[in-house]
Amino acid sequence: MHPHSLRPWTEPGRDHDLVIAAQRGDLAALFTLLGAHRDTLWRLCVALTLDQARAERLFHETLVRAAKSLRSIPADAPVLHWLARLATHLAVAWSRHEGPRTPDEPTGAWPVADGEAPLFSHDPRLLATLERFPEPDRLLLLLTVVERLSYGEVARVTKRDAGEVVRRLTELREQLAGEVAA
Amino acid sequence: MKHLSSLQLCAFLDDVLVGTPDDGTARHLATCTICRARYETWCHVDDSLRELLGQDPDEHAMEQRMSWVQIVVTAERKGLPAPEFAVLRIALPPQLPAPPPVQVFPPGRAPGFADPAPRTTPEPLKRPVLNPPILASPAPAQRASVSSAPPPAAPRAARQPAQPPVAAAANPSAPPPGYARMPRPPRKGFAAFVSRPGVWIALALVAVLAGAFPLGVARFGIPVIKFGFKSGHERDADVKPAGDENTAGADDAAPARKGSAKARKGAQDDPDASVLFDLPALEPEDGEPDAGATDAAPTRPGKPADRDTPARSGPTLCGEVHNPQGQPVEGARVYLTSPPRMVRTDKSGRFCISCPQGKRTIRIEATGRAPVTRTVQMGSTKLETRFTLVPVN
Repeated sequence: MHPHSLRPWTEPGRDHDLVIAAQRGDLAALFTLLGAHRDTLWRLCVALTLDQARAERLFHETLVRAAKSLRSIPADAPVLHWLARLATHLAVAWSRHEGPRTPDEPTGAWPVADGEAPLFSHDPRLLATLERFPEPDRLLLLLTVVERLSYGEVARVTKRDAGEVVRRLTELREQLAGEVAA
Repeated sequence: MKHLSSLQLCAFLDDVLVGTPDDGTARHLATCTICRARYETWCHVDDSLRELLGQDPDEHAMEQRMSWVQIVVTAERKGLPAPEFAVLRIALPPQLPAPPPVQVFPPGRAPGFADPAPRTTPEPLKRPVLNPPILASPAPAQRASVSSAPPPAAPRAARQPAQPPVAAAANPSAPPPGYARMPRPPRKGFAAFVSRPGVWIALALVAVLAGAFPLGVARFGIPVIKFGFKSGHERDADVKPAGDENTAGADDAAPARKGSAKARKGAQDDPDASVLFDLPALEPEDGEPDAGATDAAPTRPGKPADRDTPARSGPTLCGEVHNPQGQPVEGARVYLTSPPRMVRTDKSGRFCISCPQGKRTIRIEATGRAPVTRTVQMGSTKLETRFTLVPVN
């Protein structure tokens, strides 16, 4: 089997082979597939929730739901695109249903202890401004700034128009720069 | 000088521009201080975003996260109940946008991916014991530099129960994961008291009673409850009016039950019948004729001649009640002990009551007069008696 892709956002690599094997009941292939994208998905969950404890839950639930919905993975795009949309849907639904995290919100029974650590930023105004953005906008910033995807790739991942992606990204950067410069 | 637009600056920042536009933008930034300041601010924002969101996760923590995902997925594939931590707590909207359909992968499951056989007694999945995490916590300087960060919370193990409620997760009738709500903390204090439905029912009953009591007092007055012994004339009000025995009139030949109905009608029509009372009939004693058959003989109270005339062929006890001056006593009560009967005297002080043969006891009572009790030996014919009631001082 060929090695996994080093650019999971653009090159599927052996993802489709793993998906076919997982759909046939191969748990090892399923866990290999999920484990190949775990770091990227974790950064995605942190960007969508801006909270370590919620990121833990979103990460767990995204992977569990992905394992249940293997049959809906599109074959014409990398698996990571589908995982990113799934995590975004969950984060949007969560935010609409429960709102922002409260200090006394239960963190669940997840075993990871670093979920208690607050998300650190040198500029607290940047974090406060990011919290006001909706989850799809945070995904745009993550894909463009952190993951360094092109506008076309971002448009493919988010299933939006490339021009709309550029306009929205410009607006977001202007807002962030205005808050930081203020 | 024309400054750079935001779109140009954004594209230059993302290395999208190539060729002449890229060079022109670079030259403008080298000469325009305003655009260079904007560019530097945007670069600072991008660097902060990469620092904030681009941190690589801890390897040990990611191993643990993946191990828990593997536990959940494996339990589900094997048909085991989901462990407690696998209950998804993110509520989804009613309809998620449908993902694109599968185009390459063949539909249907392979033979080796058949659904597991249903287990009769599902075994609850035990929480695995993991190695203590070795986590790389942020540097103390970083923690100290964040002024708005919340204070460090208690360790997670201290806030969680020692044993997860696996039995709750093992409930096969539980709702499917993904739609479960966050558990609400139990209410305490006044909120818990108010949330009980019994409290509201009791308050509603009290309100209804408080509203109805003044209306009842206004309508019926304040109720008076009496305790004590009733005198004889007060007890007479409880005696039923005579019907069967004293009101049939001339319908002697009619059957007893038919005559009873007619007697009731006659008692209602005749105002004098209201003065006739009788005690409830009892079963006849041994050797006695049927009271229902013999006592149905009616007597017209307003006609003394009728009273003197025996209504039936049976014996009749008739008499007069006078005071010591010889004046008739009207309305005196004449009791026959066996069978229990009672009649009242008419205006002339006379009474007539059918009485079976044998030794009978008669008691005469009147208001304001001493009662008189007498034992008579009834034969087969009519018996005339005379009573004198002495006033009570």
